[in-house]
Amino acid sequence: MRTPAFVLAALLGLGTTLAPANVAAAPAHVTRAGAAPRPLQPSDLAPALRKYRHYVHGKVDALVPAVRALRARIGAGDRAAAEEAWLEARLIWLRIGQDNSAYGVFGDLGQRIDGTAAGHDGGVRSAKFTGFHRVEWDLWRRHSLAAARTDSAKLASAVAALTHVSLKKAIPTDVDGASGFVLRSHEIIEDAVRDSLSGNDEYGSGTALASVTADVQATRKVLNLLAPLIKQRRAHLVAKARHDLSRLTAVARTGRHHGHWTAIKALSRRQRQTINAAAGQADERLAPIPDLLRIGNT
Amino acid sequence: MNLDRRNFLAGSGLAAVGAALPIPRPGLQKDGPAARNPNGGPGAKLAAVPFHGAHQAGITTPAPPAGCFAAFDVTAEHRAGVIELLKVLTSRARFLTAGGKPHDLGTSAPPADSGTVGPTVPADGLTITVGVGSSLFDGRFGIHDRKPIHLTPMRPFPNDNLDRAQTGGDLLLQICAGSPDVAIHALRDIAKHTRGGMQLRWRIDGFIAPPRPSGTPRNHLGFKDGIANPNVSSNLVSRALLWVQRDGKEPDWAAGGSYHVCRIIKMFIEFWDRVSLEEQEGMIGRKRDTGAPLDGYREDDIPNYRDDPNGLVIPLDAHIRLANPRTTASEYSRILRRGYNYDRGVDLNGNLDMGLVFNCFQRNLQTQFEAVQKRLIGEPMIDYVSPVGGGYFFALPGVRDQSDWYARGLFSA
Repeated sequence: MRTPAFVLAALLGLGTTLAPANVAAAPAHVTRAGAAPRPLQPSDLAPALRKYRHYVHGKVDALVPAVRALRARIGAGDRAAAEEAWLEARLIWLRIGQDNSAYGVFGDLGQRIDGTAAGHDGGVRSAKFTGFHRVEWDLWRRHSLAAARTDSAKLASAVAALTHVSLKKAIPTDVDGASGFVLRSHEIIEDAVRDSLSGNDEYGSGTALASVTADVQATRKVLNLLAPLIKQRRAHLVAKARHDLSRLTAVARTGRHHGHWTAIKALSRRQRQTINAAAGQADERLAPIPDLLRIGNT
Repeated sequence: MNLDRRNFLAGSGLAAVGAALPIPRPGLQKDGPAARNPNGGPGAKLAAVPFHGAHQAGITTPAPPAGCFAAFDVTAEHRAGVIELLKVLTSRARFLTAGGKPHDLGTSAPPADSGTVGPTVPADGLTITVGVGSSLFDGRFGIHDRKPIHLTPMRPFPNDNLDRAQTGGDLLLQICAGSPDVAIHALRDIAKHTRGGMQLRWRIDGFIAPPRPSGTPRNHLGFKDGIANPNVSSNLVSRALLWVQRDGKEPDWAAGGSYHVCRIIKMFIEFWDRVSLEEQEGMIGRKRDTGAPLDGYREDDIPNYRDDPNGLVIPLDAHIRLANPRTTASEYSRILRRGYNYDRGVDLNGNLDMGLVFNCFQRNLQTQFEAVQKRLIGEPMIDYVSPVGGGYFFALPGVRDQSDWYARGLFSA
């Protein structure tokens, strides 16, 4: 996540006057003949941001009953059914497309819902380790429905808090909101590579590849909303990115057999390489989008 | 490749250019010249760094290109055993850092030395800096009441992802030299002589790149790293910020030592390389090409935050601004950094496993390193870096002379 301060400076035309060292390295803005849109303003992104908010709203609304179903199955003592419900609910969360870090748009709440044990003293035993991964640990590793009952209740209360978050405030249509949203176009798959395909956010379910497919869905949503603006600036990028994303979904799904997903560590080298290639290619393709759609850029 | 056609032909006795290579008969054909690094000659070797002194070498001495960081756990079972271990460690370090001819054990035993750096061990700027971890004071050796007061295990900060297998340790050896073979030779020699007394817990090698093109060397993010360090050549500064003093709070034996923080900081360089230069520079607070702060021209320019209170030039959450806000108070939290780049293989996701072996030395762990680190919590950089291991150690006071040994004060009544 990057600070929008330079965006502000660019917008106010301050960058070069306040920072003399910027002069020499100022990026050359190549203007392509016939396609020279005016500098991008936050207002250009406002319609996309409003549609995205609506999308997030729908996902949060779906998340509440999904977590309720998870708790019901845990309560009924059916571990297999609980595990299924866990995955279903977590994929809904991932389709929102937001970082689980403290600096994500949901702040600390994102961390409570989908944070890992990293960074907590005591690791998985820390009381600060909560949310989906905590319940995953309870179900798959500890085989403890009792622990899952307590921890899924905490998850439900965090999700309930999510329904009270003002999306207008969390996803504003100002410079911060616009530049943050543009970054999501590549950061969701970046996070998938860094956190899921690395095996780092694995707490027993072995469903990292399922989560990658949900990350692709979230990226597609962001990409679709930004597509008109991207197409004005680079005609074929969106189509190529969609192709890469389809490929990533297809190869990730090869890790699914009879409803069960193969854990990253259990994949053959060839399988991992194929998936890593598809994800890396998608990342490389998506990487220019934040620059193309930088506020103030043509 | 350094295949010198003329030498090759002359050496093989072939007169006619283009003649078919004859089937070599044993003894007729000389070997071709090997490819050699033109910089690898004897002239590149560094001078010996004095081993004896009030402080250990490897802290304020210039950091040579090769670094090896090896954490050990002590397996010696009692006080006498750990004392013996430290004495052996001292004598090996004394020999290795000076260089010279290894003992000749004759033909009745395997060779005394591995031979990997030739028949005479070169000093090549070798320094061996020994630190002790808090676990050494756990009661096994009767020194539980003599622990430096700020020494604790390294607990995770919110953005850390510490792997227990590469965190902590009873002892840390920081081995630095002009070239990697000399550093690894030293590690191998020490391990051989201390086999029963300590065992490796984790280790990592690093390097310092040559200046590109000048000034402070760069890290794997492409930025100059380690530009701003306190001026420890000033006695006043080094007493205040670097060396533990006999101050009535720290145990007397610790005077002249320094707290050593070693952190293995993984860098997600593929992700980083997909981020625009302006964003990168905004996160660091410096220009990538020159290393200058965003409000300056040269790498050693001091950023002027007072004239940029809203962070329009150097963002308020830029790494250099959070780490060292250049206030009167923050002057007392400054740390002496001595980082090494590392590069060690491939991750499951196909990305390169690289980063920084971050090292810093200071007089007080909590008011210096930890204070800096707390300011950095949640900085934008955290998306691209992940501390995965390392530990807190106390770099022992120097070995004074021929009769002194590491931590003698700690084990004396």
